[in-house]
Amino acid sequence: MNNFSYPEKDALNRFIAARYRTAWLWQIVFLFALLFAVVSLSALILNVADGAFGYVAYEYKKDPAMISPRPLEELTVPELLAALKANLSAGAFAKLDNESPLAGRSRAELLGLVEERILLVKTLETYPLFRSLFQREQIAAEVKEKFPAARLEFRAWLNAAFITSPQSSRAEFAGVRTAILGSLWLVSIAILFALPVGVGAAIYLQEYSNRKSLLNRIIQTNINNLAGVPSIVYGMLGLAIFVRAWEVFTSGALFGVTDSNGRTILSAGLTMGILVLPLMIINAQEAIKAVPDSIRQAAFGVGATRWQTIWHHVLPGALPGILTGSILAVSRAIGETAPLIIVGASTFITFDPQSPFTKFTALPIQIYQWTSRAQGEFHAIAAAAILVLLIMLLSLNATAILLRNRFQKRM
Amino acid sequence: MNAYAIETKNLSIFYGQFEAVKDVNLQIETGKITAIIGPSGCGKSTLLRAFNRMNDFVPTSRVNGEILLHGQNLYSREIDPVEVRRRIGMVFQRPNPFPKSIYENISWGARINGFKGNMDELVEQSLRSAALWDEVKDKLKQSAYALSGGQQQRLCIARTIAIQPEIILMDEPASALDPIATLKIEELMQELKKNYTILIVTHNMQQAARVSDFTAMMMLSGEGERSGTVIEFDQTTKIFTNPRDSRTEGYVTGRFG
Ligand SMILES: Nc1ncnc2c1ncn2[C@@H]1O[C@H](COP(=O)(O)OP(=O)(O)O)[C@@H](O)[C@H]1O
Ligand SMILES: [Mg+2]
Repeated sequence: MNNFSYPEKDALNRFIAARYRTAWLWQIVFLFALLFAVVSLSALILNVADGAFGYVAYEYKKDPAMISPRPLEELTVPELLAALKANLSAGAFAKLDNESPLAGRSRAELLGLVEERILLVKTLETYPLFRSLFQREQIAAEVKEKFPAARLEFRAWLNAAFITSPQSSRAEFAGVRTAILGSLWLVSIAILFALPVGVGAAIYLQEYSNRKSLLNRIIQTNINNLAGVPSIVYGMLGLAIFVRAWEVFTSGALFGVTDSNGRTILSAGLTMGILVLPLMIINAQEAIKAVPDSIRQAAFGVGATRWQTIWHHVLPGALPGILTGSILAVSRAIGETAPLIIVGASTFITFDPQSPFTKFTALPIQIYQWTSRAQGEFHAIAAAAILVLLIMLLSLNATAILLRNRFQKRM
Repeated sequence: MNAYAIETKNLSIFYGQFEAVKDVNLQIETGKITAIIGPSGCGKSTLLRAFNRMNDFVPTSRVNGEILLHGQNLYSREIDPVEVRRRIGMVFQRPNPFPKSIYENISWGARINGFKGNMDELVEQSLRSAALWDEVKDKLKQSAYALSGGQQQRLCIARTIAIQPEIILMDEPASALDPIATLKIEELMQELKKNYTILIVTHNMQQAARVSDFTAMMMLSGEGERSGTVIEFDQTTKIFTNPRDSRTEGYVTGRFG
């Protein structure tokens, strides 16, 4: 006989118990890793929400009673119009009317104007959400003592007006409309550039070139490495190439635009495009690789050319993956700040971007700028803007998942 | 005119420096089924893929010698490999229908080759020739992936027939199928040989004996026994009853390989 043996009886029981103990230990370790992740993410979200909602103490420079003995909220549109006319200079009134006929504006909008232009609302103190929820009396007492004349109100800084208003130097009236539009312009340009170029490059690498050649391996390694280059480096590239070297093109001078320099949406969009290009290529390559070779063989076997094979079989098969990847690239681009600062995003813009050749701002820039202000109300709107950004990211990712599921079912 | 559908002259096939197939001289008769048999790795698939230039997709592959179709070398410069693949169709080891409808699986090959005529009729005729029409005529718009493995393989045969090749290459077409589906494919081959010349690679001795008219026996030989070559080529009955080469005899009687 040989001397091979396995544990038996008591030894076997001990052995099995030890195996279960090890398994159980690892399970606990994984569970803790998961808990840690969940807790950190929740803390992030809660922290942002904490800033974006809460009590605010404010006062009016002018007493609302001077406008009407009744509370402002009860005034009708004609009464608000009359109040504006009576309290604003003729020139200021005409200017407002010019921007958009006052009579045609909504009651909420007029109310906002009255607060902004006549009463001159001033925020004294903002309170975070959790204190506002759990220490109401304490806050009320504190405000009464520090600011006897102040009004106290619970405010959602993230509201419809915040989304639809342009930037303003007064936090109470500032919104993210220009920033959202700027971000949308940016990612559109980035995708219009990076999607075709990225997919094209991926097709060439996967379907045409010899995967094993030295040149190909060098190119592949470089693409992989470029995907990990810090985004600020791309910003410097964008500054040197798009903003400076190509200024006649990116400023629109070539197309007859005269009043701009190279620091346009186009420059920033192209910079973002370059930034996500490596991701785009790698991702499209993966999607193309996932199309089984047997499909290509089948197509070639019935006398298809390489292009027919790619166009009719490889690309349709890779499309869900390419789409998902593009959306993830968009999410990356939407959140990038550093390259935008370098290529010269403007921090204060009150008009909507009208063409690729205008100055621009974007959500992360706005957030960055607001968080660097000292006053609490700016921190509150920064938190609200972060929520807007997070919601945009989440919806993009959800779209990616939906698209993928839809296309996969069709296969 | 040449009596053979296709013939090879001193054909050797390389992968880089490695000579996978060495010195093959075969004359394949028109309208017959020729089986290529031999142990795994002896170069059967390599040889078969050379006939429709599918080896072109392996960047390291290289061919010496000639494959003549109507007296013309398939590997000469003026020959377009895409055109070769239309004239010499191929059915693969695993059924590989396109992830499209049954109808499109057949119409696509026709369409890209500039087919002019009634597509519905072509689809029906091809499916009938592949003995699949009755099973799928009510679900032509459904995905080909919903078919069974055997049906998928017959669909692949129909797809090949639809582009009206002269020769059909089959690389172990039944190896992924159950015995009943295999039988159907074998019956189908007997029908097809009325119109096409068929070359089939198979692992299965009985299958070669059942379906083929001629058999090429391949074996590793040459230096260090690394290169595959055809050691015997004759009528199937001869190969199985009265082989000239003792290695063939050993293989077909199951003594080795
Ligand atoms: N794409 C390839 N690259 C390099 N060597 C290959 C390739 N395909 C097959 N070979 C080699 O060629 C020889 C013959 O293979 P193959 O034709 O597939 O044999 P069979 O079909 O008879 O089993 C084997 O040694 C195999 O390793
Ligand atoms: Mg094989």
